[in-house]
Amino acid sequence: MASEKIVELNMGPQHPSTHGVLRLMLKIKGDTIMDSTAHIGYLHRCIEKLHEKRHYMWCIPLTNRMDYVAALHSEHLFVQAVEKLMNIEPSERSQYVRVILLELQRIASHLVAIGSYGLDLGQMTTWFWCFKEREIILTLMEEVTGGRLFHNEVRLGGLKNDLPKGWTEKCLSMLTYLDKKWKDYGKFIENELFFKRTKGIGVVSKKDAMDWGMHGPSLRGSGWNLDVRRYAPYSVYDKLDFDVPVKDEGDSLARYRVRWEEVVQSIRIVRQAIKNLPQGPTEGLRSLYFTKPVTPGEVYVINEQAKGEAGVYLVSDGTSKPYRAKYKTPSFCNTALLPKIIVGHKIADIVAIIGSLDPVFGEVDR
Amino acid sequence: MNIVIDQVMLLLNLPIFLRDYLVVIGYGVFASLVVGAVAYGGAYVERKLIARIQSRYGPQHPGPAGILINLADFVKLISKEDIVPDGADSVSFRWAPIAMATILFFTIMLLPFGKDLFAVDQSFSLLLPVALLSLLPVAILLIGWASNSKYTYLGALRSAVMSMSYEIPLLLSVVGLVILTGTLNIVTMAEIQDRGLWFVLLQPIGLLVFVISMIATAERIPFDMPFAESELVAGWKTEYSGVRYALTFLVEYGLVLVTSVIVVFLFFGGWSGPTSLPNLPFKIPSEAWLFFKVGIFVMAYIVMRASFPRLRADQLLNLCWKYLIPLGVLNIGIAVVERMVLWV
Repeated sequence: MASEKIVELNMGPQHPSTHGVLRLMLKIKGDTIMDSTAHIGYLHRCIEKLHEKRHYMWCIPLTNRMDYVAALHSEHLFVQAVEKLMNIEPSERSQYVRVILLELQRIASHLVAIGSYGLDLGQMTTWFWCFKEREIILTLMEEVTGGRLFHNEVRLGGLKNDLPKGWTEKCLSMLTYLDKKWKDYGKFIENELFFKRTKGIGVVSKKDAMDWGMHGPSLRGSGWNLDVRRYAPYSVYDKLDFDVPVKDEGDSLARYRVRWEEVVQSIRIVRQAIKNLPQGPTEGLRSLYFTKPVTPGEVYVINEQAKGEAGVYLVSDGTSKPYRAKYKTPSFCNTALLPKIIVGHKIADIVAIIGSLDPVFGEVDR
Repeated sequence: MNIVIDQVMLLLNLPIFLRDYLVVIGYGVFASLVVGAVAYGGAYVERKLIARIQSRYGPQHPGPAGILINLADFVKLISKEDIVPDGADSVSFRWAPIAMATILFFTIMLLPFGKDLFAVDQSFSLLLPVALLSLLPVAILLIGWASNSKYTYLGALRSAVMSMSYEIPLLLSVVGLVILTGTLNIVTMAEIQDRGLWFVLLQPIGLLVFVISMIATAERIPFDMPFAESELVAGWKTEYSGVRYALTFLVEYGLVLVTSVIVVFLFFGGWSGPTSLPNLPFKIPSEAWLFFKVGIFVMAYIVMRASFPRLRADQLLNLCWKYLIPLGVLNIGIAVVERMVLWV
């Protein structure tokens, strides 16, 4: 081109494939990105501040709204923190049921991630197939929790509802079905054109992934064997047998493959949890209890969400409302390094990289 | 078609110089009907077939099995406000889609649709449609510039770059056929194939190059980056609304039709059907075979759209310059050898 001028291009917040309301200010030269800045905050709903104005019980639905694709995870995180604060050990059965639901939620979230990744790359069918399977999982979860996206299910020391009668058989048959389908989908997605779009795109080296604070499947795609379920087991994850998929390439394809394999592992975990499911009560403390004062103190709790390691720093001043709840969310950290990754790539690669990081903007902005 | 016009001439006792005008008018009406039918049917089949591939039902409602859905959409589109964005060049923005549709109608008028179903039996009927189609990027560039938006501009540039590079392998791949047949008339080519051998058997590499280039010309997945939804919102279509948006769809399906017809005429024997059929009470017209084959190609476009992700623009150019053009040249060599062996 005669004039190699740098053009500013504004991508988002209303753009079909920024997975929500991300706004990227790009400086492009031809088709290549020279520089980029990410602007966030378009979905800020003061969730952390709202925590301070509500009883503990009423905070649980709020946490649902953070990662709206995998609502149960953030809910569990908050309850975990309060339980640690009050030194409550949930009953064995309720812990197993929680794990079953958490892993189903992880599968649902990864289905969204992989499905929308297909949509980003122009492979529409992946999207519809993944959402079809997700629908089955959501229906299963609805039978337990009453909610499809926002479950509001985990209670202090237990659960709102136990598993209904015959649910485990239904779940197992669904898992068999999904297991079979999932292998077919893997074959369908990974064709030559898919490799062309993802192999070597958005490479994050092992060192950079740690230095920049990557999280979750994206971090494991860069060669780090780090999974909270493994290195700081919570609930009953230490009693269950599962692998942590790790890939060394660090590109978009590796991140996609980690997610794909995690679904297989989650299926394995749910099967084990159903097999080992003990009898016993699942009821937590009475809901009303949440309006009573909570032991003063402060805790920091982490768990492994679908998007990666999330933490909450919860301070209680002895009243019935949290003094402060500060969340650390994986999507936020992954979005923070997005502008660094995309520099030097083509415009078309941006969507391939955003999709492989799988940010959810409810969680980024909170 | 020509016979019908001759009959009309005789009936009304018209002077002979009017015949050419009548042919053009008659064929123009016919071409519009074909484009309309193909755009309507193609869009409907696409919706239904893709839906079935994706485990959905597709449109169900207006009419039986949703057959009226496109009519409903069309009514919706023409009743929408025709928005010209602020700062856009109004004249070019308004007229460029109409110019595109016009170019497309001209192209379709030049295409044969059966043994006797063509407006003019001109000896350049291979080159002329290709030449006309290469005018489309001019209109697209105009749209990209006139819309006053960076996304349309990027989409238009991509479209221009793509068609500039893909015209070369497109033409290279048909040079082989020109050498084999010694004509630029696709009707003659079909007649030669009708005698026995389809060129797909003689020129498989040519077919490969031609099909890839023709998907790129029609700007469909996996080569649809000029309006890659996930990157450029809708590429050069971004700013359009209402009836002009409907026109861009017409152009899209028209391109699918044109490229499918050309490929069937060049490589799959045009209207020629099986030589020996069991005795049927009626005769299957040659047009039916042609539409059957074209239909298969349109279906192939649709299935491809459901199965593949899209390539990146620079990867597409790599594919073109590194693989297709050398293959096209190789194909010419093969054609020369075949000509020496077969047509001594």
